Amino acid sequence: MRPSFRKMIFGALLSVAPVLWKCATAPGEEIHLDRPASIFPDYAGISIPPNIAPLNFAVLDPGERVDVRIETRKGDAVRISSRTGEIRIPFKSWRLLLDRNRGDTLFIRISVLAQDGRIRHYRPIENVVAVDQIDPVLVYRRIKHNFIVLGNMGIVQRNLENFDEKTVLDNKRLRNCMNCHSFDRNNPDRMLFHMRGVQSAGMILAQNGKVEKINTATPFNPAAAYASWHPSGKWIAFSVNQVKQFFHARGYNRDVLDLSSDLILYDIEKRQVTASPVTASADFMETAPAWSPDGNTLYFCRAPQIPRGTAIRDCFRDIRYDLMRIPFDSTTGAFGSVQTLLAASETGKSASFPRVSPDGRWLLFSLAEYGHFPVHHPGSDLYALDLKTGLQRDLEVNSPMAESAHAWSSNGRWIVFSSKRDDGFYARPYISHFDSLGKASKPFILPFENPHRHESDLHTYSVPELITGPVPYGSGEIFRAAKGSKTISATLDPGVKVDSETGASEKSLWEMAPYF
Amino acid sequence: MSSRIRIAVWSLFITAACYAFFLKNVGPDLVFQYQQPVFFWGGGFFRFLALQPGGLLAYAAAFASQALFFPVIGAAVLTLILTCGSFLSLRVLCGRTSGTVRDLFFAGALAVLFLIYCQYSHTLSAGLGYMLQLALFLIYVRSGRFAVYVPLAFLSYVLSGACHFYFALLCVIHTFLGSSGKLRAETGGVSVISHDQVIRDGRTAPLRVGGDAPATRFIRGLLCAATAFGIAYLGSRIYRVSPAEAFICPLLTLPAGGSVSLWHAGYVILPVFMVLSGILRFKSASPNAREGNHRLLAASTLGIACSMLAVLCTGETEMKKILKIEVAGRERRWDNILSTAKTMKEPHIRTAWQVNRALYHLGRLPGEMFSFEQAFGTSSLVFSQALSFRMPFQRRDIFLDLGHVNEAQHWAHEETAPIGDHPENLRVLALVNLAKGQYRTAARFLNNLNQTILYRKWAQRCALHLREGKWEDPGGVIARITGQMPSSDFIVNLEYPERDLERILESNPKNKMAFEYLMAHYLLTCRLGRLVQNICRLNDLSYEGIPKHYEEALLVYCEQSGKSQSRFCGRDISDKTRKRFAEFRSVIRKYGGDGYAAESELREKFAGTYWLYSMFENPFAAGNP
Repeated sequence: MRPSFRKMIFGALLSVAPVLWKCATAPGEEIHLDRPASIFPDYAGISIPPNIAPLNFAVLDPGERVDVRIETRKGDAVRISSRTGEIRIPFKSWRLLLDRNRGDTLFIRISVLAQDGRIRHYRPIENVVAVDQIDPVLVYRRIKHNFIVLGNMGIVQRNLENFDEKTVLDNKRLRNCMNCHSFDRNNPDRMLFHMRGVQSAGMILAQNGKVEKINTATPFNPAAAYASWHPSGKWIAFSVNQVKQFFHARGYNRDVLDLSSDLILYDIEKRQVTASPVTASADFMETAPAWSPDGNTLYFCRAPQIPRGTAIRDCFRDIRYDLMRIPFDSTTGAFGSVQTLLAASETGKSASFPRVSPDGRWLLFSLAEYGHFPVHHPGSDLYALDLKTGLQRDLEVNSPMAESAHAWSSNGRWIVFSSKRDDGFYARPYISHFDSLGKASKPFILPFENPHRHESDLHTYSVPELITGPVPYGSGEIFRAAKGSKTISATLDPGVKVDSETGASEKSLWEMAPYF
Repeated sequence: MSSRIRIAVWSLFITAACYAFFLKNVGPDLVFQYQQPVFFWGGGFFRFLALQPGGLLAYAAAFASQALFFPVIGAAVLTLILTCGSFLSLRVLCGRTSGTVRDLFFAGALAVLFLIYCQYSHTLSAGLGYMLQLALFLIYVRSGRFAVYVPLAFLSYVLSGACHFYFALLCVIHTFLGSSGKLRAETGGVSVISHDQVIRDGRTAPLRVGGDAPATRFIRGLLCAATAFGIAYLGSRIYRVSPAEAFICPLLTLPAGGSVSLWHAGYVILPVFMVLSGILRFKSASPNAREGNHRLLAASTLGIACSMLAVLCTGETEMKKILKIEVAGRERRWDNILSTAKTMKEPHIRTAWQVNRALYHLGRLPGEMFSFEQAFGTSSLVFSQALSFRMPFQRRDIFLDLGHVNEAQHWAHEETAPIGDHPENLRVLALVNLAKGQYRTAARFLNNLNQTILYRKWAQRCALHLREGKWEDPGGVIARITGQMPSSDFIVNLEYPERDLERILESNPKNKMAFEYLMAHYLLTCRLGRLVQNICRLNDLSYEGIPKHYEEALLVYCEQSGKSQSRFCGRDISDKTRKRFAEFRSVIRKYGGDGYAAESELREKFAGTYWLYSMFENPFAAGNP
């Protein structure tokens, strides 16, 4: 049986009638609210890099339809409508908007059609488009929260100008732990990270188009950990740490402590490890080296060595690190004498991870209740020390949760750091503008194409590092170097005496760790 | 009743018998418990799987596996996969010959398939992969062209990963040996009457074997094999996986505990038949369809019946009980745990742990724990770190029960390494974070659970009660956990978790479970001095009198220490227990103080007492109580 033409027309009209009725209905009452709409992620009142990917977000105020208009004083505008509240900004329009409005303000006008037919107009969100570009690539380690059983992890590079994510190397094939990735002054061509584990362990050093695996352990020291590249490109300063992980019965459950640590210098050309009694003292635990941009000063953290035989449970809350610096002669490779920049006894807190701005003016570091792993301490915050005036202050970016693992952009105008402000548990990269006066803007979370991704992602993004371009080494190339049997063993500088007379740490110290 | 109806009814009967067997004897919910399959709606999970060779099939299998949670639907899924698998196997066999040998091979294939599907370790992805290869092989045979093989091989690799080697193997054998012509003949409206003759259009005609010269077939076969390896190599580059993953997974990767040889037999049976039929050229049956069908049905019935019998005789009965106990534990059906545990022939660490947990929740731990088999030490209470690696979810659950939420959280996260984001894990993490007042973290886990099939409703109910950063706690679930939590911090002892029980009790003396587990630990390790030191905690927890096993232990303690104390912290040991202990002593005296000589009488008269445990399970007791 075939339906008649008239019936078909009637059926079609009947089906579109609700839509036509809805369209024909006059808009309801309009309300202007004196507050901005609630959005997630919180992209309100921030400074935006002019080359960042669209800051997609979700409007949390309930409604049947959300209209968003992103406009500028110059009259540029982008309009997006959504029934789900999810706002995905068209890529080209966004880039055009940012390009044409550097240094100006973006107004995000949000209107929500409520279920009762009323339209709520919110106070516009105002964001500033910064003049300074951010480095286009962010590298981070993406890991799960398993601390004893090895799970999947990977070092990932994310293009900040779009949403491309590419794995530098993951442990799918190697089943290793990998950590402490580091770049020479934001240069993607000079990279290193460490592979831990029984198999394929070693430092992966990629530079000048070549990837090598190096065993940094020598009779003096175990394998290296935290790194800082000397600006001359000749050395890398490392800390060598004996790390102990433990768990709390209340509060944040994981905690980590160094049982002992020293600083070493790795000569890249000679593939040789050297150490100085002043930075590898048996009386102190030195860690987290960071060179000044001119290479004449090494900043690091230092705490008194835990006495042998001390039960950690009795002393871990009292281990606090001072912020130190030591002059360095790049021509001779000799260190001067150690100076205390910030004493734990003054702050009552423990300093960690100093990083000097590219212009050499600012020193960014973390302060936590104790120890050297601020990521595990909800109270840890970022501080800035003006190296000109010697004044230090906590940054505006801090939250009640942990802030740590900060890094500078190559132009020194952006900082990126890990923050657990979302939920106190999962660390996410946050980006903030850092002006010449040392003022940091309100930070914003790394944008993703799906604005809800952060809400359900069960990974931590640790150690975010900004680099000036994509890592030029393919994951296959790095994998082959990591997997391959060719491991270059670093030699120990014959000048380093492995005995107590030099003041340097003894090898035996590593073997006689304190116990719980 | 016509022959066709009889055949249909009989086929249905066999299918129904398989369904009933899966439902009643195997238990799809137990398969689910064993495998813990994970499935999430949404792009993230799909993307994660799709980026691995064979991930698409794994995604489909993960979806289908969720049905195993519901026994009635799960049994139907297993039956359906078995039916499809056997149908496709039959089609492959029919492609070679139609005689008795084929029927016997089919019976064998069916039996092996059935046995495989009765195994708890058997994953649906393996079953679906097997079916897919057979289906693609039949398509290839139908066309007989190499040009068709290549896209099919690609498709096979994309869908099922290295399983495509099975497809390639069948194709290579088929190409090397040449088609018997039957399959093509059947589809072309002709019938085979012998290995070298067919009836075409009512007339007898010679059957062309293979259709190509041997050299051509050989080259084509080699090309098929080379293509398969080439695709796998390409796959390892595209998917960025190791050669092992590209060439083996998920073809030969089986979950631990499964019968690998059985599964390999399932893979081997068809290629062997094809090779044999190609070499020996089995005699085909007469073209009497009815007779052939009857014979085939008889063979199928025989195959299924034999495998059912084999499962009943040699099936994983102990594993079945362990899984039953674990399912009951997950659903907190404590009585079921105890009733199943009593039927077990040999105690197992996984069940002993569940039994003690059930006893605690039923309020029977201090009075009845020795009515069940207990091993010396504390591994049946809480796990040491070494054991935890093998059983992280048990450690997670016991710590959650104990209110030691940080350790429950810790082990729930550790468990993600071997099994991924399992929903039960996410549920525990949501509960832990609700108990710790970390509502935004809890919401993150609830968001993920909202993308599951089985925990979606639970997550939505929770989300309803988690409004504006506040938890309404319906039913006081979270209040029960927080009431158990330690009130002050301490460093967790990973090596000796029983020591944490003391710390928990020190910081929260009202934690009844921690107290009973601590006392159970002292009983099991025969540290009666420590038990006596803690007996006064009974007063903090409003017990009536002294629980039975504590009384028994106290009497042993008095006996050993030469004290004649009968009152502890204002509580008297009951006359009944004292009298029983006197009887116990008298029996030993009757045998001249030789406990081992008195063992049978003691076990008969004093079953379920601590005295027997301390005398015969304690390696340091040497036959003395």
